[in-house]
Amino acid sequence: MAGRFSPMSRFVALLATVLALGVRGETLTMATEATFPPYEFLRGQEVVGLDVEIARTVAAKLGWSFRVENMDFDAVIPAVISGKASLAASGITITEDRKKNVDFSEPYVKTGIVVIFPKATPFETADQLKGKKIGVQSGTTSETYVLEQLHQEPERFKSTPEACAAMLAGRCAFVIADIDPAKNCVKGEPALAISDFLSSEEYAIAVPKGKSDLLAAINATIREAKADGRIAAWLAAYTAESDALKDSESADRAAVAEGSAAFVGAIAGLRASVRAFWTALCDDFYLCFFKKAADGSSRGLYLVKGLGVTIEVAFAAIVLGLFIGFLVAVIRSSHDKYGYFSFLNALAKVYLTIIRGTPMVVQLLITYYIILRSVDSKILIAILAFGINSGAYQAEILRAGIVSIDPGQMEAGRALGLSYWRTMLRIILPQAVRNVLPALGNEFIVLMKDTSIVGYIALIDLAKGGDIIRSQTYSVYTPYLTVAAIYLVLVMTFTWLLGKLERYLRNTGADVVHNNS
Amino acid sequence: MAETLLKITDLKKSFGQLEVLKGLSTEIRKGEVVVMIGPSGGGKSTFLRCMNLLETPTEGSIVFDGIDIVTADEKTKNRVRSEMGMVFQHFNLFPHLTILDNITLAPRLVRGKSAAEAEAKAMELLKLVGLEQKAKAYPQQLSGGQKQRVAIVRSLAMEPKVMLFDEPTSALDPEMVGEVLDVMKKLAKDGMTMVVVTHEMRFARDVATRVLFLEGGRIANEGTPAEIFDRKHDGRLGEFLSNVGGGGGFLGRVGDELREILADNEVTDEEIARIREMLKERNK
Repeated sequence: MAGRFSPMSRFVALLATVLALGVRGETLTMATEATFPPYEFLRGQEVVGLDVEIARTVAAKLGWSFRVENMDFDAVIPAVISGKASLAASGITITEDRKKNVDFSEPYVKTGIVVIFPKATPFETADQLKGKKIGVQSGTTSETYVLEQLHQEPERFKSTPEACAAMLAGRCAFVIADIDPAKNCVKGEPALAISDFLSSEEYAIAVPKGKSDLLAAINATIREAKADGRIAAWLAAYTAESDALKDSESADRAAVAEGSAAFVGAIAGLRASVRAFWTALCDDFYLCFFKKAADGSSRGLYLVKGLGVTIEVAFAAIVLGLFIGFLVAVIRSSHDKYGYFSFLNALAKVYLTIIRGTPMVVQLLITYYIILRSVDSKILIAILAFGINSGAYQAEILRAGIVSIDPGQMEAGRALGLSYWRTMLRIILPQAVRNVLPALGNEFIVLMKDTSIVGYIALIDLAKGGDIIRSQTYSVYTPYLTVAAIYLVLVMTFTWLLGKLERYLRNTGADVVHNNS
Repeated sequence: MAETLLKITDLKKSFGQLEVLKGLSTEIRKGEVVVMIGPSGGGKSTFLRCMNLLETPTEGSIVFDGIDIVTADEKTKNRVRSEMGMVFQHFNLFPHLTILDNITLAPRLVRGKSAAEAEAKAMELLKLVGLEQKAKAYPQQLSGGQKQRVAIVRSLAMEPKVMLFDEPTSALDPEMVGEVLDVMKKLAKDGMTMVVVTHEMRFARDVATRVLFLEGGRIANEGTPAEIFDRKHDGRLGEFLSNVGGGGGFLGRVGDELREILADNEVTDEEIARIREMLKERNK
């Protein structure tokens, strides 16, 4: 019986070999986050640094071609796990958690985490950290330190310089970071200083589990380079170069590519048998959402709390946007039709131009860092930024609605003795809203999903919650697909409610026969 | 003579370069039914809309209750408007409100009446025009004639001192004109002061106490219905009346001839000659 299937199996095996050779056999892909000089940073468009030199030497030793993938730091290890990268070299500290998911090479550098503090409030003992707001780069050992040693939630940022900027703006008391990025931040910033090591750690290169040949080549390279002084030389050279770059490089950081390991992970899961897939899925769900941490909470709490933040920000912003929208729409249409409110109309036009002409993310950051610097509640900042943004779009939608109403309606209201504003509120606006409800509903849905960028101001909403779970578990598809599903359910529920409202409003005034006899 | 409600002096109105009203003066006294007729573009509607300040006059004064309302502040203008009812050609009912809410909105918001009080009054007025069973309906469910009757009730609910009608039957199907005119006749009989812009010459002839003929932004002729309709006029008024038909106008006179023909059931050469004469005169 087996013979009947053997040609087929052989063919599949052959195909798999060819694919394996063709796709990844010849190339060594290094996953890294190039904002970490002197280990890796951008020289123009090119990623350079100590880690790059080591990985390139490994590739040369194996006779493979070499490629660097630049991504967010908390995507680097998932990229190795999912097979998107052959190795991860990104100043990665060896931890027990990470060891469960990847194999580590011998350490090539010893380093540690330190506290960056403003000179005005000197840092002396670790006790000072308790209960303070502490900025960290998301997905780093500094984050783990705050969570596990201090038992508190850190303020998460995309990079250490961003965390330092927030500290200078008074948004956190201290920043914890690895020694090298910390030195880099303090350089040229006379108001900041660095403490001694809070804990020391060793950097190593991560590879997928079971790739012993690759691991051996890496270890050999590290040993040779340490012995002949190349590592020390590279470190010195790249430190000098990054110091020189320091003044001009900050803009380049924006070019960090997003690592999306989700699909590769999903396909890998599907390749397994259905049962194994199901078990893996359940395990992953358990790990991501239900497994209890030391303090008795589970990670699912990030999503629950995040959903709360998303709903709170979205709905408060919709209400604020409606209020602003009504006001601006009435001012604009009154001016166009009757010549009222010239000054306010000019002001409204400036508002519309600025809000609609700049990206939402930029408006959010400006609100957070500049306009409302002294406001402590990030939720309030998000509500204001989104409300003011949405108001501009709602204003134009509502204005179209107001313009569509027959002028006879205003005349009839005025002829009955109602004032202009009363006629507007009681006669014109109800009809205008009814006419533009579909467009308005569309704007509400866009706003609801747009709130997913509040992670930029270190506010943990639904999207950021999923992101944190991914960075802690290195599981990519479970958190992201779950987050996507929750958004979908949220939007569908809202669409359904809007549909009901629309039908209700349509029925008043037509079709329905009111039997009053 | 009855007291003067509205005293309009030398009223002018321009839209940009175009002068629509070129200095009109008249007085509306309590209990009068003043009907304004005239060719389109003659300024009838603009004149009427100036009376409750839907259009702001360029010059001149309108004295109502002893105050010049043209120069009054916004609050006074709103109060004055609430004391003048206005009925529009296109009804302008509020489509998002029920008939009852259309009628009670202003009494509640402007007069501060309670909902119960306003509704009782509205139902009473609806009964008067035979539409009490439509109270909970929406405007879209009504015919044109019904809508216009509701619009009249909506104005009456404010207990106005004067009612302004801006071509109230022009947008109606012919078979519905009668029901609206009947309501207006009833109002006139009950002593309501009314200013009406209309093309219904029979209504003007039967109901008006005074007729104004507006032409070229001026009051060209003024008089009782008998003075306007039953005499032969030269110039614009004669031309207008012969075009629309009515009274001493062309159709009126042809009608008289036809009545004579029908009375003795015989057409004389004399009668044919007179009709020919009239046609020739009309075609000049």
